[in-house]
Amino acid sequence: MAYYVLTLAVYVVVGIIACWGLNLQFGDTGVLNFAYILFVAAGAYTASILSLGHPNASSYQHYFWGAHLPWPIPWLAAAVVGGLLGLLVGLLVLRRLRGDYQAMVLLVVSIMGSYIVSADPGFLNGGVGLALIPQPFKGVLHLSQVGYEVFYLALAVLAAVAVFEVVRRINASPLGRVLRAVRENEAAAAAVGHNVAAVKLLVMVIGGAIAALAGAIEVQFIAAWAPAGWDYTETFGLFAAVIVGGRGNLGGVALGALLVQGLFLEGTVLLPNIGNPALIGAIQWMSLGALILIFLYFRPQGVLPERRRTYSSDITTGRNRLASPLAALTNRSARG
Amino acid sequence: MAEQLTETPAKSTAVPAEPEVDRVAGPAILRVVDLKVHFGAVRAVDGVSFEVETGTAVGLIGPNGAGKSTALKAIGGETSPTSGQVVFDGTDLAGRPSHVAARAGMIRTFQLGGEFARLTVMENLLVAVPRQRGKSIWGALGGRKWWGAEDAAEVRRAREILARLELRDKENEYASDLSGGQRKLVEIGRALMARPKMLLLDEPMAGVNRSLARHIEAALSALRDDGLTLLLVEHELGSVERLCDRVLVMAQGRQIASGHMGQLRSRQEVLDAYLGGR
Repeated sequence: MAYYVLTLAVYVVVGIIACWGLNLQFGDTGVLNFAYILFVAAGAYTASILSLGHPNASSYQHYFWGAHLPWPIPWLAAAVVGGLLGLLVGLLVLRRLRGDYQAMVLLVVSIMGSYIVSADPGFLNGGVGLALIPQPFKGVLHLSQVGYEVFYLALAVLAAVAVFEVVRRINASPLGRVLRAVRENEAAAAAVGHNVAAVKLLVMVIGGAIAALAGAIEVQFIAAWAPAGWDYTETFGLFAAVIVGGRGNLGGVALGALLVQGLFLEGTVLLPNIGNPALIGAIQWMSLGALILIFLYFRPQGVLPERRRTYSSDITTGRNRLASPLAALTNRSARG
Repeated sequence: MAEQLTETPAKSTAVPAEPEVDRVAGPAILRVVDLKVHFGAVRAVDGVSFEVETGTAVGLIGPNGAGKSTALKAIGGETSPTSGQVVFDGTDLAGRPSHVAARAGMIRTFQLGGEFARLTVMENLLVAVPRQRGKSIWGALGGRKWWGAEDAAEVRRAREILARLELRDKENEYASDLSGGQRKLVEIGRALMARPKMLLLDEPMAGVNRSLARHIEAALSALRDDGLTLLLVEHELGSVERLCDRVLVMAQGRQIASGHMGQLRSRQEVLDAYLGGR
């Protein structure tokens, strides 16, 4: 039971990190990055090949290049690769296309990415994927399985705290205001001097780096990674978490990740087998779709809506403050 | 519309009367040369040329479909002109995106829906502050110690502007919760936060009740008197007459007349354009 709970906890922490990155793009800036899972996958593959060592021709798994680097280099390198991928995809997609077309192209990019990796077995071991990915400090610590899971959970939480601090600082800053302005009205944001394409490119890079870090944490925990695990539909699971929790609210997004990734998707796995074995998986996605629809119709702001930012009348301190969580729930403002 | 053109505009105590003498005009801050915006066979703007002198208010009027808003969009960078020059403060901005025009000091407001709906009134204003420390990624990551004091100064400035626009008590309201007229005022306040050299105003009084329209007019009049340059597209001709030093009349994409509003009222080509006679 402890093993199961700890495994679930690591998944939830990874989900929270990924959702904070997606929230920066979608919740704060309004970028519909339907290729988000591609960035998670890029991080996972990067961490994998930087942990596995050089590829061996006689091995059952083939990949184009590898190294055996100590933690945290695979995680940091994954974040860098995710950011660079964000830059590349952003340059291709964001500069010339309108928002809804951007979303369509990003979805296509996600599908293309999966096919490219699956089609070439020599690139990242094709559809079979990579396995036996070394886990950080596993051979050094000599812990029990549960003990190692506790240790890994602590590493994941540490990464989550770092990511939280990054997104919190962005969110609270004048840059965060610009992101929200772009989300609300691109033409008006441009009319007061903001380069909308550059702003979106920035969140593609930062969000991409965060997504890739989440992928790196996940892959070194489960020690395997294959295209079936990062199908484009996975992106919608992350979108569901952000929508349900409350886009633009970091606490809400974390709650959404817990509810959707931890309880909702896991809950459907626990359903008894009925009919065709594939039915449970189908029910899982149908339920997720229904959940998104229900929230978009009846509570589009999510469980914990984005908080209203008010400014203290004592501005000599330079501090603005947020409405209380209760006020956020009831859509009232705490006046400064 | 023709009736509006010929009737004597109602005066209000809330709005300053039309100035009897021209304000001292500086050199041209905006020079539009042979501006054309064609959409296929449609010549929305077809060779418009004019200048706007520093510190003056210029009105752009004409019947629906005359090309006024398209011209304003092309000047402000939202639409790329087919040809022509838009020389602002010595730099040709034709075809440059609107954020470049804004950074040069030419700030545009919108006919409809120009607010950031789910941002508070205060945030709407603060978004427009140029070159703020906390607006770069490194500045943002530096935290409040890095940008807080500067931001606090901008909050104070925003409050002064809101007080001037009589919106001080609305600073914590979402822009979406305001009336149409109040949103237009927020847009004007936001434009002022950008420290503009010139405002491009697209029908700032359209769809606004009479009381708020007069309030907006009074605010624009005060800005004009402070020396801010205005280029204004507006259908409310009484307001145009009271606000503008000079008026350009457009019809079917072309500039057909210019001068003081009082002179234009009697011009046959202007009456024809409003009556659809052209």
